[in-house]
Amino acid sequence: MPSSISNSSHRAPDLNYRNAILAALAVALSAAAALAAANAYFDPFNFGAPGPKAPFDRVNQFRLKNTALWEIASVERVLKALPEASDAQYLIIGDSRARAMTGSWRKDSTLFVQDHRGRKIFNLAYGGADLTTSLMIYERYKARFPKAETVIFAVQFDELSDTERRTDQMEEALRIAKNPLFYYVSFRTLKVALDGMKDREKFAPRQDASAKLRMTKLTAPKKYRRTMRYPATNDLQKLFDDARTIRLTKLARTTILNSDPSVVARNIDSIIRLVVERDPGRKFLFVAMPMHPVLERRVAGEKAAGYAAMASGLRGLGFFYDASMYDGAATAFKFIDAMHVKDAAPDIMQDAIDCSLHPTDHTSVIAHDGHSPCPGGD
Amino acid sequence: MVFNSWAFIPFFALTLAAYYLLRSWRLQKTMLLGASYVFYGFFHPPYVLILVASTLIDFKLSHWIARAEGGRRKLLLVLSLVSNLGMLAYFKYAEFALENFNAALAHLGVTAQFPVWDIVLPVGISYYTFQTLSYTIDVYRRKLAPSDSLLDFAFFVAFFPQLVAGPIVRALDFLPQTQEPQRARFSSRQFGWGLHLLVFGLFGKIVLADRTLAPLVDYAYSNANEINFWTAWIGTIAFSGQIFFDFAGYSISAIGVALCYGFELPDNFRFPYAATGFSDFWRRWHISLSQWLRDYLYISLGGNRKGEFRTYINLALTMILGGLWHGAAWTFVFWGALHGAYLVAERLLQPVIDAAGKASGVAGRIAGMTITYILVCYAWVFFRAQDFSDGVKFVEAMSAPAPMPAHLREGSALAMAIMGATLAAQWMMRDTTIEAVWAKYPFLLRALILGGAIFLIFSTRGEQRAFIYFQF
Repeated sequence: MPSSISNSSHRAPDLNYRNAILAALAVALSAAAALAAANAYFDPFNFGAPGPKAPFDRVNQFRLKNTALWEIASVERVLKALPEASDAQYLIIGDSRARAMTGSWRKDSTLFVQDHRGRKIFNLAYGGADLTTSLMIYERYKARFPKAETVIFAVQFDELSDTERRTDQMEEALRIAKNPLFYYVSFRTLKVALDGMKDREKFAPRQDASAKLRMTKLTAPKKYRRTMRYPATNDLQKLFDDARTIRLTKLARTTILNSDPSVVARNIDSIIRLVVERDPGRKFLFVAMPMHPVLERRVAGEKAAGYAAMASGLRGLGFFYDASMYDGAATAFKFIDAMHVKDAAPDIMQDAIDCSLHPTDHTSVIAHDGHSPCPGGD
Repeated sequence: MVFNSWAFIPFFALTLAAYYLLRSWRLQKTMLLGASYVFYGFFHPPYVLILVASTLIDFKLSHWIARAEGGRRKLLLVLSLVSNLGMLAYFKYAEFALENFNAALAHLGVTAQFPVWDIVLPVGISYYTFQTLSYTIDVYRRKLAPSDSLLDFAFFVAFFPQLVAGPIVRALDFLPQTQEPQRARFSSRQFGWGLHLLVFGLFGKIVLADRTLAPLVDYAYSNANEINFWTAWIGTIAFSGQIFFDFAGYSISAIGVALCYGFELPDNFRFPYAATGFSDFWRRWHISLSQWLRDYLYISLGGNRKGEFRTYINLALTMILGGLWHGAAWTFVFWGALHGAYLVAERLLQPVIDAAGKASGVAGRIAGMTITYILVCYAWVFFRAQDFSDGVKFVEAMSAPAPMPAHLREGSALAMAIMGATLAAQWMMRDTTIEAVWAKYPFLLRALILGGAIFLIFSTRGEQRAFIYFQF
């Protein structure tokens, strides 16, 4: 018999370990199978498409529960289904307005553009992505796009403020997206599904006579107001649009007031360190994205110094295109519809970007209203 | 590599298979030594060289110490202390010392500043340094003959289950085990219980510490400027649970993994929150460190042999250095000083405590446990706070009652229920062991608990968090 040390109480009790471990494994596997079955039924992030999922509007019910996971799952689905997507020459990074540059933010099919004026574009932007998230998604995915020569980095002035999140959600989202086991055998997936169901019962618009009155009085939670993204097609939705516009005004005050020049300069510095210096072989185009008129007025006025700091900082990092004032009173075309860019806006933006990237070759740029968007073009 | 990483599963399976398939005891130990270096190399491969250097230096010095007499013997011991503590000082404390030196210069109006080095701390250096130190000191004190086998000694220093976060193993306990080839014979009892302990430890770490308690702690301690009474208390109570389940979880896992190979490691935790006083707490919390500090520091300082006043000084000094062992920061020093003050106060009040305890029975012991736990929580504040001023803000908030915000009640209910159950369970099990309790459970209950723990470990896994004590 081996000797025992005096200061250990961890000596094996005399039990039948083989049977106990086998029974424990059976318990664990049964519980895992039950959980996986429930998660496969709800499938809140569309992993098993077209699996036996419950028939809900997944975008509105589940996306906001974990936007990073939702979007990463979409990216992974597209990269798996279309291997040629990895050959993209252009990458777009940013939030929902940048996402809208290649089409609807709701569809997987708009992530990859096979032929935009002879170029392949992959859009890694997504709704709600702040500066940190944008940087992190680029860092995690850049190696998957070895042929990407140009990175279009969409920046919003208020994203450079300190009010934004500073957490990196990508690591976990990537881990789950790449390994379905983490997704199906997970209580958090089930919690997302159950939370989504709970919200659905509470806030889903009902097309009945009493619904209109009810919605008028409703003080919708923030997450729901942010979920509504479409131009109003009926009175009921218009109520939400109005509510959202009011909220946007409040949001503007909060974020813009924090965007002082020193904060902006510091955050631009973090972009340099994280992205530009680590990728000397790639071309970066920083695009200051269109703002809502409320934000635009404030930026043009009291926050002009901060804005100038941002523009100057980004210009020093690479190509810079300023589309932020496109929605001002002096501009005929309104880019923003309540919160998002209109359908036609991406084309104009892309033209403008082409002008920045190919300043001496305006032939590839489509003119609008008889005028080239490029400075000096006809 | 850590026990809660996916990489550990194939590592563990392969080393177990190799260990039990090999037929030579020497080869088995060599394989485990190599595996231990691989395990350590996962953190930062070049630092394996430091581990090897530390091993070779102490192996050689221990033989010279054993042969030497008088002043030369003492000189060789000093050489061992200097080499071990020097390495620890450079990697762990140089940056801290330079920062403080620069701050002192600035305070005196000197504008010149020394450049602060950016040193990467080798994981587990505090643990293996203390192990090798105890070995040479025991050889010096003639309690132990130096090991004749470099393989056995290197294996003692590097054995991977305890290498990076303890328990701190004594050569007196471990080296004899390397002389017992019968340990390598497969025993389903030992192996089965080892797996049980590994599962219990990982459950504590992953499910309780990381998934349930850590988010509350992070929430509370990242908002020191907006802290209030309830956030401070809930965050701190959650931290008391997080650090217990994290560290005790690692220790239990380490003991379990070692047992799977047939080796025994010392206890590190015995239901510490059931302690009815501070000397009792330190007999239950991080036992291998507190015993090390007692045997090699407190006793070396004179212990309680040089009068009452000197005893208090020795107690306080031991705890302050124990605090500093945890990390190069004033918050750790203060945490140690606070525990030193608790121990001194307890010693001063011992007659009163004894009298009250006799008079009040179980109620008195429960009161003792409650007071001890609350004061331990106050000390944890400084252990966890980002800096000293944050710690002070927490203590102030904890002393100013205010209504509980509704969102906090909902968000902390599960964590607080777990902490309540933990304190109750520790109280009920304070005089027994996990093994004794487990053996009393019926088969079905054991299968359900173990199966449930395995299921929860895998289904609640999220972002992999490092064990808190790795940084020490």
